[in-house]
Amino acid sequence: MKNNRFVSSIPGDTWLLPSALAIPLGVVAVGVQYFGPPTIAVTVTEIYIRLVAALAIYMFSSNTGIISYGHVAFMGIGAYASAWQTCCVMMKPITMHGLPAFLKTANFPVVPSAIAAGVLAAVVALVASLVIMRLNSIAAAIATFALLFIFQSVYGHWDSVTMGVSTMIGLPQYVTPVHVWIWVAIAILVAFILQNSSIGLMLRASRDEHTAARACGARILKYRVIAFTISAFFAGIAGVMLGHRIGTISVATFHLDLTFLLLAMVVVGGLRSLSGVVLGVIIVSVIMEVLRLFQGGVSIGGQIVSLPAGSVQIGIALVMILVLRFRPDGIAKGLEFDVKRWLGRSSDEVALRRSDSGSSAAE
Amino acid sequence: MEGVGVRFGRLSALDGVDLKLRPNSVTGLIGPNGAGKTTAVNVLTGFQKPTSGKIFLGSQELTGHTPEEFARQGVTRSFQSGRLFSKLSVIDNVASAAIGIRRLGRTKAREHAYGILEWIGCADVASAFAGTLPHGVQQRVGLARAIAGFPSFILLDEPAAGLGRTDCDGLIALIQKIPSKFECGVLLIEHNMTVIMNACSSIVVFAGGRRIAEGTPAEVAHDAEVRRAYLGSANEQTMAI
Repeated sequence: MKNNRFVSSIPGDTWLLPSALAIPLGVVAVGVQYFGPPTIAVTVTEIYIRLVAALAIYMFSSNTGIISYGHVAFMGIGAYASAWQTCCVMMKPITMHGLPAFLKTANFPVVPSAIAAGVLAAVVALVASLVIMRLNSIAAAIATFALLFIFQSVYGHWDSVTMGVSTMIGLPQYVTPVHVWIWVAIAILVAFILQNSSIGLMLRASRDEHTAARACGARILKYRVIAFTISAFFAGIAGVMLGHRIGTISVATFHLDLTFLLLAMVVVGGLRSLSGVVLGVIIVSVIMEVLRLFQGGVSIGGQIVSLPAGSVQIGIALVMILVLRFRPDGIAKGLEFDVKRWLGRSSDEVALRRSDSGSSAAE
Repeated sequence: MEGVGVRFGRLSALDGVDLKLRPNSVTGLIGPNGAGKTTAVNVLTGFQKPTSGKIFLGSQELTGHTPEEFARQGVTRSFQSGRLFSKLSVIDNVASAAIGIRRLGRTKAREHAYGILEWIGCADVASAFAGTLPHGVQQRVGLARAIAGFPSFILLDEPAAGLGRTDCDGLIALIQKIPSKFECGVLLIEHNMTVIMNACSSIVVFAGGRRIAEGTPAEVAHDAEVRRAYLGSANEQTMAI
């Protein structure tokens, strides 16, 4: 089966692929923010926040082959860090009396706060990865899962700083579609640069053959730590966006439901290409919105049709299973959009195109 | 390597073995199954830490270093089972050695890799995913990857295993040219006696974790102990094929 819309990832056309992914999303963001109804703007904002989070997982997992179940913890760390800097200056001394003085008594501008929050998530990831990234495949993946539970436990019980399991309210709701889109665009760009860098190549080599990669001089631990740290920064940013979209955060938000949703998106789109992850987030989000609509009850020909509560989760789970069964490499099959072909340019990388993109290598 | 011993529990895989590789020539390493040939390659590339003995590259001691350090010091290897990066293109497979070992940039590494692929006769599949290639081509790409890391010594663990006669002859002809073309020494593990007799300027024979003979192909072929080691395991050899 020929599939000409995708080509295997090719370095060289550096700006075309990330541009082709980011620019249409930007057009949509501007459109819904200034001309669309508010409900659509909210939906698009949520999709883009998930996209930043999924891209963060992608940056690490696609290159290393290690699925991360822990990135939602970094989202939580980012969200709380941003809340400490920007939320409810009147209440902070009482509800979060354990915070350091400079945070307790003052608020900071939102954008620098978001970046600082991302950096905190990255620092935590850096320290954790020095231990976790010595492990391989399943062991490493489970260790990232353990990270999520450590986060849950620490933030759920550190009452003087996080208000425990209570919901923190009053985060400034500054997040608009265009604002999130800027982070989406940065994340796409960073993911693209990473996967086409030497670090990305050596990580993918180690993903396929750990032993042979060492024989090629790859310092796998170092590369993995770098990838994990960068990806945690973007997970942190996604958490910040999530908190400031809704205006409230609680530790329960950053747990298994969100982890499952993000992994479903990454799996459906395909973990091995940037185009795949973007597609996956959009497709799963659309399915989710439709199911959510039906869950609330829709009038069809005078009859109210409504799905039972929980249908959204079940629907996404089914989609994920079907994709794993019939298209295990995801919808994009690990290939990227062939932008040059769309633009009608004859390009010198024709020789580099896979002759038969339908037959993926047997695992 | 000097007086190297490797024990796995109570099993002795190598027992006080000396092995010296000469620069710019092909040294053959032969021996019956279980003689310790692959263990020797693992020791010489850092994948197996010796229980006793020392490893030197020139005057520099490398005992106890990691495989990454061995590679960066100029000792590269191929694997019996190929171990290509199956989801990377052939050119990236080869380029990765130049990037990992010499820290070349991607473009330079690819140019370097393409040159080697041309020499080895695989340039036409440079963009194919390595995992989709037939066995014979994979073996060649594995060889190209070992060459691409600017080695001073290349250790080849049965590169001709499972190849047909024509493929095998072609590969051996290439291996013979490596020392002069890339200025490095080669250690070649091989079962096929005809191949090894033709390809190597000197041959080392292992049996039961010990070195039992060393010399020119002619000397080794007439060595009584070598004949005994091979005849003694003749049945095993047949079954392995």
